[in-house]
Order: sequence, then structure tokens, then C-alpha cells
Amino acid sequence: MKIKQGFLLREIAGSWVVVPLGERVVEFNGLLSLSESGALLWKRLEEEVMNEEELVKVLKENYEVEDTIAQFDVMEFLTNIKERGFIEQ
Amino acid sequence: MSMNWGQLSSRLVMNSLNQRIPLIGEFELTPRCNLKCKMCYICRDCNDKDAISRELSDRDWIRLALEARDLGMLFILLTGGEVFLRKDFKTIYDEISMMGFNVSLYTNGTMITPQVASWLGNHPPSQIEITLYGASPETYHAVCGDSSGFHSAIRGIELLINQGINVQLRTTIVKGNVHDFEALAEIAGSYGLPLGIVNYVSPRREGTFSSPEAERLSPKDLADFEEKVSLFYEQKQQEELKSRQENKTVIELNELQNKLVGNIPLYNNLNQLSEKISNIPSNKNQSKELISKDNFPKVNPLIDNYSKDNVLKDKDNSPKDILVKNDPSKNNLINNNLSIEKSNKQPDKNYSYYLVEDTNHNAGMNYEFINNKETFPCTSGKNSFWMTWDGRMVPCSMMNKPEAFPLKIGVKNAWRKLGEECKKVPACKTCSKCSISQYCNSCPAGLMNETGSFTKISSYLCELAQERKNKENELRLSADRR
Repeated sequence: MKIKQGFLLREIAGSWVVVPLGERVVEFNGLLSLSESGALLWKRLEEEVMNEEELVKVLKENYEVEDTIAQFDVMEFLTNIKERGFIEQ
Repeated sequence: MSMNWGQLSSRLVMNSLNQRIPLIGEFELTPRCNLKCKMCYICRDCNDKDAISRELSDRDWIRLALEARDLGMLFILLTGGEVFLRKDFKTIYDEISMMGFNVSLYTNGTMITPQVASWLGNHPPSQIEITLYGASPETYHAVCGDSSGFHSAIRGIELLINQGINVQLRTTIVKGNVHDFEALAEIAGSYGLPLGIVNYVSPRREGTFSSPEAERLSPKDLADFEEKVSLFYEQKQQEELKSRQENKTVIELNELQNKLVGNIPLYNNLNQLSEKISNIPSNKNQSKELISKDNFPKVNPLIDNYSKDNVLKDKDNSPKDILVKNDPSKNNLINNNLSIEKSNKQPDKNYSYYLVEDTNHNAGMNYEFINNKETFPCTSGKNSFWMTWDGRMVPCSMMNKPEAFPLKIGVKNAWRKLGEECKKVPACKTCSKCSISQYCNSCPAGLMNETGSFTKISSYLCELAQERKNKENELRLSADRR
């Protein structure tokens, strides 16, 4: 899985913001605000990710967190961004 | 906790103000226009050779945008004059639309053809704001010198709406079109859009043939007009409330009333400039749901649990991973259930408005974030700037000085210099001690344009403030009597 083309992750005055580019504004006219950890996952997802474990690994590499919680959070993050159409189908 | 557009943009504004990041940039691509509005602050003829020869190239504008983006600019406005007069506008627009900005366009709408609407619809800006100068060809003739402008503008609005583009409407009220106010309100209402009302018309920043001071309403007439607007919308909203009650729709009356402009005291607006960006409701079909702080997308717990010091924490109140549609739920706008699709579905009627305090100041402003001791009561020079058509970076649309030259020294240096120069602008001592300042929208730009000095008071602005105060006193007295 991978983030669709046409979204740009930017850091603006300390906030992580995803901005739709060009044609993407048609389907999503707005901004996506991410936390620092959300931004890390997003960046990883800009390249192809084979499974959720890879994302769990990103969290564990950067934060002290238990596996189960990291897994749950990754799952919920993915669900959210899939629902809103940011992931390539 | 969820976050709406207003909260996100407030956070960005606050942080960029603190760090002096140029979050908002306004690019005046040309001073030329196909209309000749009598109150224009800048206008030049569409064939003005001097303007054409001195306008920046498309490469210049693209370079400026890129440099500003690298400094943190997120919101960009493309405006003029009339932007569609530039033959290279599409070139500039196409590049800018891929740079990672939230893009706004200003236009008079008269040059929008089906072809233009089509390519805009393919990769649209976040919003297009169209100014209507009247509600009839006659008024367009009187105010703009072009009777065909009215139908051209309406056509432009409809072409853009039919492409699913987020169109917003505003008007600039002067002597020549004040009689058209209710008709303009009806036009906006019929599209389900709030009407932005530019009430303060400033003297020219440059140019020669317009006469804004002669065209604008007198202070008394303007105060009367503002009252009329407030009463008009209050009545409309009462009618809507009544009709909804009669229809027994499932909306909490409180929720509805919270959204009604009529419940906000008229002169609150004077000190609460609507943050431009966050005031724009969307008419995109994906915004069918009523986006309010109560039904916004759920918090993603991811953010709750992680922090910069890499320790798992309990849920906190920091802003969350939130999808923020360009459709705020500011209390003073009726958020609309529009579903404008490319198939010409009719919008629900919507009667609401906002006052655009000064003629062309578009940068987002949050008074609560501004240090009251600073001369500029706004974000100009702090997190926003205006690029003039001839390559000068100035604080806002109304100002010629202070200025900096980014094409010569780069945007980064020019932005820093502009900020330094703005801090040196002296405050008007009389204004700072004024007892009725809450009714006044004077600022350095206004004072300079009105009087030629940053420190002289303007009789027009003083009288206007006094008239507004008088109005409020009258309202209080009549309320007391009841």
C-alpha cells in the first residue's frame, strides 16, 4: 500500500500538513493535519509498504511503545486515511 | 478532541505569527482590468503599455512562489486587477497549483468562459472569490463602465459552480450600487452562498482614473447601510427559522441559532475580522455533511500517544490527526448542505454575510493573537505579505511603503526586511488613546491613504466610528425602552 500521488506533506510553522495538489483538490478540497508520528507514518507510506508491520516498526524505532498499542494505532491510522481516499487502491 | 478548519488555521496563524513565517502571500499579478470601477484602488486600463512592460514575467512569479513556499507560505492568493487578462495566467496557475499551497483566486468573473471554467475545474483552486459590483447591467454601467459585465459575471459564476469549484461572492458597496444590496443578497442567497460585503472603501493606492473617495458612502450613509444589512439578514434568518420549525426538520434550534449571523451584535465584527481563509464554506458535493465541531471526523488516537520526547503518554489535548475540509464551521456563517455537482443540482438557499473590513485586505487576521502594542493591528508584515504587480513586497494591498524587493535580494531577505521596516512604522498616538476605537477600523495603511501620514487621524474614519457608536447607542436605547 502507498499514498496516492498528488498529496504533499509539508511542515508549516511546526505543524505537519498534507496539501492536495492540482487535480487532487477536486476530490479533497482542504488540508490534512498530522501529528509528528502521523507524519512519520505518512512519509514511510510515500514509498510502497508491504504490510502493517513495517509501519509498526517505524513507530517502535522512534518511540517507546508496546507492540500491541503500536499495532492498534497503525491499524487505526490506516483505516482513517484509507477511508478518506489517501491510499492507492 | 476534534479540530475544525477555523481551529487548524488559527493554530497555523498563531505559530507563524510567533515565528514570523510568511504563511500567507498575496500576489497581485497585474494592475490592469477590463472593468473600470469608480472606486478601484489600483486599476489600470487593460492595454496600459506601461503596466504591460513592467509586469513581472511568469517565471518571476513562479520563482517568487517557490521561494516563499520554502519559507513556509501555505496560503496564496492570486489577484489583480483582473488576473485573466494575463495571457500567461494559466502557465502561472498550473505551476502554482502543484507547489503545495491552498490557492485562492480573486476575479470579477467576467472573463470566465466555458473553456476557462473547464481547465480550472480540472485542477481547481481551493476557492474563487468573485466580486459582483451590482445586480443589473445598469448598475454595472454606472459603477464599472460596462453594462455587459453583469451578465458576464453571472455566467462566470455559474460556469465555475457547475464545475464543482468552491465559489464565493462578495460585493463592494458604493453610492452607485447601494440600492442593489437586497438584489445582491438574493443572488448570493440563491446560490446558497454568503455575501462578503466590502464596506470600507479606501483611497487609491495608485492609478489615476478612479475616484474612490467620491464614490464611497459617507460615514453616516455607511453606518445606516451596515444597520440595514444586519436587519435584512436577521429577518431572513427569522424567516428561515420559522420555515424550518414549520417543516419540523431535525435540527436543534440552538444549533441553528448559533449559526445565525443575526445573533451576533453588529459591531462585534469590527473587532473580529473574519479570518479570510477559515470563513469559506465549500459548495463541493463531498461536503454534504454538516461540518461542525460536534460531528467532525473522530480523533486518531495515534497523536494522543506519542510525543517528541518519545515516551508513551496518556491522551492529551493537543491537536489531532484530523481531516480538515476547506469548509469551516465558524459560528457566524450558516454552514450549508450544498451539493453542487457537475450535473447542475440546485443549492439550498442560504442568507448570510460577513463584513470585509477594509477594501482589499485579505490576509487572515486574528486580533486575539496580535500584540496590542504593535502599530499594525493585523498580521501584515508578521505572517502575511502582498506582492505588487511591479515586484514590490509590501505589508498589504493598500500600502506602498514599507516595501522590499524580493526579485533583487530574494524573498527571504525581503521578508525579513519588510518585518523590520513594519516595526518602525509609527503609531498614531491619537488613535491609540481614542475612546471609540472599537468602532473604528483605522490602521497604518488606512491612515496613510486617507491622510498621507501614519500618524494623522482621518476625518472619514473618525466620523464613521462615531456614526457606528451612535447607532449602537440608539439600539441600546430602543432595547431599554422595550
